[in-house]
Amino acid sequence: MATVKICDLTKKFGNKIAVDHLSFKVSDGEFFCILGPPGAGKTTILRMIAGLEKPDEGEIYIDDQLVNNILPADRDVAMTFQSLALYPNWTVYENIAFPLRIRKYPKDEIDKKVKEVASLLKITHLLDRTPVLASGGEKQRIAVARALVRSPKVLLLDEPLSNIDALLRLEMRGELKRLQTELKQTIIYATPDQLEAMSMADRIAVMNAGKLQQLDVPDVIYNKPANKFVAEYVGTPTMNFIDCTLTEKDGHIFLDAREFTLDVTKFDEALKESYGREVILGIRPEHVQISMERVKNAIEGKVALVEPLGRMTVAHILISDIHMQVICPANFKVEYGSKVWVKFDTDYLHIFDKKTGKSIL
Amino acid sequence: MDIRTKKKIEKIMRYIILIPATIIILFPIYWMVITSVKPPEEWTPTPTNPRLIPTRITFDNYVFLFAPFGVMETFAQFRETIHQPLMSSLILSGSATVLALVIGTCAAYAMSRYKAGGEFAPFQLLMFRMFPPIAIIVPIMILYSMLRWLDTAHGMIIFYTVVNMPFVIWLMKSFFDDIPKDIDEAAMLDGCSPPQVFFKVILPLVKPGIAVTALFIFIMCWSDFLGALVLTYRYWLTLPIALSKYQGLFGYLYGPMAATGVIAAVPCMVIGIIIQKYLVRGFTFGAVKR
Amino acid sequence: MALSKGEKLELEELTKYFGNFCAVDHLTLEVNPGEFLSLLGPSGCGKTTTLNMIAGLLEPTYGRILIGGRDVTYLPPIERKVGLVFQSYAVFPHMTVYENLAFGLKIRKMPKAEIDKKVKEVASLLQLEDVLNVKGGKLSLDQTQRTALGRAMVIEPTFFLLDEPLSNLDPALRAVMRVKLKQLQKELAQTVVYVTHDQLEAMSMADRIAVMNAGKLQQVGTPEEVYNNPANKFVANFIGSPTMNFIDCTLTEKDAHILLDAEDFTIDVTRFGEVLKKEACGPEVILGIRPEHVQISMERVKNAIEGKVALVEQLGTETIITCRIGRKEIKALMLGTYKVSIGDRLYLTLNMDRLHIIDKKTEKVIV
Repeated sequence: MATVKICDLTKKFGNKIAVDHLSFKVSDGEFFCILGPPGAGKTTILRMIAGLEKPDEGEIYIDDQLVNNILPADRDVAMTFQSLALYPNWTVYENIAFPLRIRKYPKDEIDKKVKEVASLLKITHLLDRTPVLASGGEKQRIAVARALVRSPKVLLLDEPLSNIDALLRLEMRGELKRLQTELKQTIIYATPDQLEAMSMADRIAVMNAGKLQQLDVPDVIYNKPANKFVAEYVGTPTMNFIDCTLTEKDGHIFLDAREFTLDVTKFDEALKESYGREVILGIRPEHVQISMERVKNAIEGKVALVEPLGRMTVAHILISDIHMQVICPANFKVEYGSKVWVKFDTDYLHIFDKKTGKSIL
Repeated sequence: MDIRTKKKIEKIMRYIILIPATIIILFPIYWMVITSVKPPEEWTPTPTNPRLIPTRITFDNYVFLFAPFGVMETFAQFRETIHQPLMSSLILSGSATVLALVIGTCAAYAMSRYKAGGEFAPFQLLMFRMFPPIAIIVPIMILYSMLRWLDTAHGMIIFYTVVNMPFVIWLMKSFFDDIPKDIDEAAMLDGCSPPQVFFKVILPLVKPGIAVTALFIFIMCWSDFLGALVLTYRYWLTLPIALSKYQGLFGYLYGPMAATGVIAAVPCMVIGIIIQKYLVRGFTFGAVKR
Repeated sequence: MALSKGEKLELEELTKYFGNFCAVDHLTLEVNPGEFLSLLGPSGCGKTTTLNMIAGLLEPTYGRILIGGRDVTYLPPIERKVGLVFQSYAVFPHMTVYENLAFGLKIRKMPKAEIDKKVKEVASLLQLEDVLNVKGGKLSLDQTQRTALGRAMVIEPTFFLLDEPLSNLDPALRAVMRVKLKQLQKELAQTVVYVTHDQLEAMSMADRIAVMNAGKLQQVGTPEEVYNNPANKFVANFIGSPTMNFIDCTLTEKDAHILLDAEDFTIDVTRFGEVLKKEACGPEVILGIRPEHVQISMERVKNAIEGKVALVEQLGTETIITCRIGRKEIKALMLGTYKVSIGDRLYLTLNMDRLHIIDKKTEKVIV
């Protein structure tokens, strides 16, 4: 179990910048998540930490030791690939034992460790089979077992749950998190699934196009996104965005959208410098109140689509051509095309600068 | 027309085509085997008597090959045993196959993983091999003559190795390409140095590829006629050359020829049977279910 | 666009054996015209096999398929007029979008002018006009999926079969495409059979869901029905995220009260007495309750179950707390950010209106 420190890490592939001057620190025993869409650079970061790619700039420290020029085999880092890369011609036992055999551990110690890890991941019954016949979830656990068997300093997981059934994915999430807490293993986990990141990570680093967008605990990332990208990427259903202009009139500050105006004078302090600017109003679907009757200060809209999700219903509302998603309680019955009135909970309002995308509120 | 009758018709058509095709393909082998056990009178078929089934079986033809004295004295002039060509073929083909495999496999791995020689190297190599052998055999003979490599073991082995290398590289590279690079990387992370990755992890995975390539190259060397004809004359004649010697003034000695053919076929079949189990095991590891 | 109105699809006792393995077992299902039906189930449950049989790519071992009343069980795919969209899209990479869309029509030997008209119609519908001349291999995932859809639409099929078309997209894009697909389907009033293993997709898009497992149909119903009244344990477990809590209990009777005995706690279920007496095959039952129907409080509440926090998952919109009671665990869902630490003592109350009791032997839901 170790700490990882990245300083100014940069990697280019031809003209494309895959990772752009990235810096962060991972503490000992932390479950650290790198979250971002495909192509954001997550896999590249993991590969550089593992030693499979050489960074163009920057340093990587594992346990305060500079590892840039150390071979992957000697860094004591374990990684599971998205494609799992299990050795197909050997049994599961031999797959898991391989890292120890190469390092010339004595036979009985190998046997002990393999059996330990196998029971931890509940795959003892698979030890004599070839990995080809295992199911997706089992293959995943074999890959993790192979990585954990030598108690590496850092465990890198590259989208491990993306090839698994939705139902099994939920189970594995819980198991992985529990495993990590028990073993106090430092884990760096790359995923495009924000729900996975939110539910498992101690801290999340949100990345887009190689650049770090925000690094913080899940709570803060959800409630105080640093820019529009983070706000849009985290949270499902996604946040609603409406283009507005910030105007001042008679000492009151208004968010001026074509179809409605919102009084935001109470945030006077924070908005002082942004008068007259083009901004984007952001509000999460669960912070929009919906009602079938006209309510004071509410905005009128039409129901475009209804998604019943069991414990809640997501209604898609059209306000002229603005498309909004609203979470309603499960028994809220709406018909397509019916008129509804929505009201925003201003305590949870977000305002983003239209040009930079940065959060103003 | 619905699916069921269509499938039935397909099945019948398949047999209509396959059965005659099989007969046509297997017939020469059948002919060779029975000719090798026929007495001289029955060697040649005539329209009235095709002699598809021998009336009498004799192993004189085989004996003739190994100890021409005392058998078929009429053909005493062809008093050359088969020992030398047989040994020669075995040694030359065997060595060249092994050598070509060893060098070619390593080269193929380098090309597959590290793009050695550039992106088009394997293709370029293959293009060189596309030269018609007839066109270059004479310059090679002259070269060999200068090097005093004519009719030598090392000369022939080098010739066969070089000539077959492009095939080895082409075949093995595609087998290596089939193994995802992720496995290399997983092995490296598990603690292997690059040579260890090659020998301990990747090589076992291409065993079926090696088996198939070995058989292919062996057959190429074994059945080579032009090279052996031009580049050897006495000590290192090979089986195909030996076969051609059974031409007499009054016709061919079909019996001994057929016997030679049967003997020549044996090593290839043996190798084929040995690698069978590698072939079967190898093709299941590619099975991936969604 | 002059797409024909969706037709009704009927499957009667559809069965498929692969050697001795039964992939689809006497499946009987009806899809109404214009309906969006989702075939939901885990990998290997037979949904893709069923889809392939409806499309005509596989021959059923037994049973019939009727489209609009016509028996199409043994017709080759081309004559069934179904539009099939695969998981891997099967968009030809070396052909332009235009050529991809026109492909099905060219095969059917339609005159060039007509092909052009239809392709342009579909392209405008799916907003592909600006990429008509781009090669298939160079499209973004979103455009590839629309092209695959367009290819199916352009032959004006009577209904669409989609085989997990969104599983290759990243979660953000998937959410967007879900909404688009559903809107499109509603606009065009087409009959759609949508295969997926993701219950969220099925719940959000389908008019009705057919849940399958191991070749057998488990339940057919609207999303609300399947969510609130699951027919058996499999459906109850499969639908809903986070999954339903299941606790093994024994039915006991004491002083005219019927109790669910779960070793570490008891729940009074006398109100379900009649149904229980009739349907239960034995005293061994499973208690099922969804995490959102479990109330948590930090103070002792009457009739509450006492437990300790084992795991906390903060999801932003809500928090999932796993509580340990003795040897058992119950997950509870609380809205918003709920601050608890591992080891805290909590009191759980179960919503009795949303309780499910499942017979342990038959796995059928009794209440």
